Amino acid sequence: MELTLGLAIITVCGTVAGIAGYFLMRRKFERELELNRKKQEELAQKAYEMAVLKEIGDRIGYSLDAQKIVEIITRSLGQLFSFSTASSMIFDGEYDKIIFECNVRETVSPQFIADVKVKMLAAFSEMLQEPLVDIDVDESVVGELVDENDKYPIASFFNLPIVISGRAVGIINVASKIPGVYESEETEVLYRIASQASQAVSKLQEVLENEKSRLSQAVESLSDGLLMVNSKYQLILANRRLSHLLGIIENPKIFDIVNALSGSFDLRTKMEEAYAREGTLPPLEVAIRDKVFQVFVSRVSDKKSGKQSLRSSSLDPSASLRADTLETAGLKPVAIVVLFHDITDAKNLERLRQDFTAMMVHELRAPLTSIKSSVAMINPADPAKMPPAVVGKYLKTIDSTSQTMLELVNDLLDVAKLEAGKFDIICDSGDIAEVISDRVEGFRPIAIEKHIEINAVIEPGLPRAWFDKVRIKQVLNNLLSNAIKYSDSGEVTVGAKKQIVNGAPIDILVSVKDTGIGIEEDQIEKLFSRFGQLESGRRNAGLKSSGLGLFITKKIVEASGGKIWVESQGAGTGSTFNFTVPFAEASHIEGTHDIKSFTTEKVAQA
Amino acid sequence: MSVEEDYLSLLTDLIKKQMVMLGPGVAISKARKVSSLTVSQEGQVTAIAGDPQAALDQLAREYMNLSGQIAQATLASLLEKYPNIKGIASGSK
Repeated sequence: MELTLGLAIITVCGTVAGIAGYFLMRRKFERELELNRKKQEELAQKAYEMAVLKEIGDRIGYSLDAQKIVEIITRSLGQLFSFSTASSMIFDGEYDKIIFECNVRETVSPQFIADVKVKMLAAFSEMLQEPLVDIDVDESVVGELVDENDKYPIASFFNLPIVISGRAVGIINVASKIPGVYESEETEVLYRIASQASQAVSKLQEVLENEKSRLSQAVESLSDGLLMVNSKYQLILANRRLSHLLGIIENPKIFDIVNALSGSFDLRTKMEEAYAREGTLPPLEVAIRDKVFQVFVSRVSDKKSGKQSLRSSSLDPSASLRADTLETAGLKPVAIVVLFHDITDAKNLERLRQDFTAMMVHELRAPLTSIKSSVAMINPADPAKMPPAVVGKYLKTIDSTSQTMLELVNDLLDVAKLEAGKFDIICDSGDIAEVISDRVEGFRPIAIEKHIEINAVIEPGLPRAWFDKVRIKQVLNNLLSNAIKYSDSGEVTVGAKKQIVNGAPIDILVSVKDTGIGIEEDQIEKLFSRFGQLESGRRNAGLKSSGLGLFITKKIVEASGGKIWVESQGAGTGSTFNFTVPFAEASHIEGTHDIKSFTTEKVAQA
Repeated sequence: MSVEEDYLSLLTDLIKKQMVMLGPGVAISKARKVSSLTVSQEGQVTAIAGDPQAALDQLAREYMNLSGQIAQATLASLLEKYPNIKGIASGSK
């Protein structure tokens, strides 16, 4: 009996344990199923999120088009929820126009759509934190038919704002006739997508803005005028330099530019020519206002279109990549660039060179004619019959004229050496006072001939200076020769003293002062340039020279470590040419230097 | 108004604004994730259990997770009306 009871108890307990075990196992199994289901849902959401983001990434590329984000998200909504309408609003840059598009998935009433629009505008107003006044809404409805008799209102909806770089650019609205359908976590995936797409586009926009800013700075810093138009000939950019060169307002319209060029350059025609052909048009030389420009017109092509075009042509097995295939598959022009390079200075220089050559030819021909005439006068057939005094006079003329020619040729050679960088300056320690005294005495006879008093005023105890003895003589010769040449009377004084700056001597100041014709203030700058005399009109004095002397003088002084400048109160007031010569350093004087420490300058090209 | 009333009012304003911007279903379901808040179907906060500042921080984060800068801007403008309430920990005010 007891045994039977015991067996019964064991059987009951076993059965209960079995049943309990079954339920526990089932519960565990159900929990695992639930977890699996959740995981699958999460994976599906993740896959959806990735697919939508990938499509956004693929389609947007570099266009920064918020409308595309809205389009892609709106189109993908059907995979996530049921809805009656999916609508989008895109805001323009100034927030004065909205494009509203309603995609009707199941029949709704016009009032339903109107309510969607009101809710979206209210959301937009809340986002901007200001009421919307006088806003223009461009509306379109697509999809299923709208039924006037449908009586279902909006029972549930949600808005998805699209924000790029902190600025609201659009809203997506999903609305349904069924209540409470958009409270699940599935909705959140859309916010995540919108947020990630916005962040990606914002970053891209930032990069592009930075690039644009750098490009703008580069364009603005150009010394040439530049404009760019798109394929519809609308102005994309015009730099400040262009406005300055054409004398028009900053940020001009294309018409301002065309008007400024009117009569000089047919901008429209040239842009059309450039648009029709690849590469750059041959440069054009155009005179605009008082300037001369070289104008380059070229088209900008979309390289991507060319690649696509080539790719599609290569798909055709019969098509070979011949030259004509390449031509027809040419790059699509997207813009025209016009560059205005100011060549006024280059043209002036070219003219000066031509004038200078003509002048030199004349300057060399005149003494040659004189020499030839003098020789003819000596009568080579029977020179013994000529009185010696007459022969002597003609020989003196030949001598002085050939000397003038030699000086001209020497000047030309010096300039040629300067331009070739082969003009040597070899400095050494020396006594500048001695050189000045020597030169003053050398010019004294010529000065006396013109009744000009010539003096040297040298500060006693001048330190030794650092200069090229031959070249510094050339400098003094030039300045003294000019001083006497451009003076009819009066005096020429050569001074030398220590130049004191802030109480300390820094170098030796040499000055050549005359009481001659003087120099107008506006001519001073041109004196030392290569064609200075031609530009300044200083040759009008009717005096023979190459006009290169001051140019060569300046180069010698500067290559020796000094400076040169001129002072004059204007015409008829005389002038003073000053130049500086560096002190010789202690090591130069003591002779502790080796040969390499001597300054040996190759004067840079003029 | 007491500080507690300020919090109730601010939280309600925030939820109602989010209801307009995001839609009532999403805004309220997010608000109800903040366990210390009792929120009506109309978006009214009727009770705060515990620290109201912690509730505000949590609610703000819930909305910022959804709409980022927009929620931040909304909260910043609302906080101007409630000088007794400090901004959220991430520093929106």
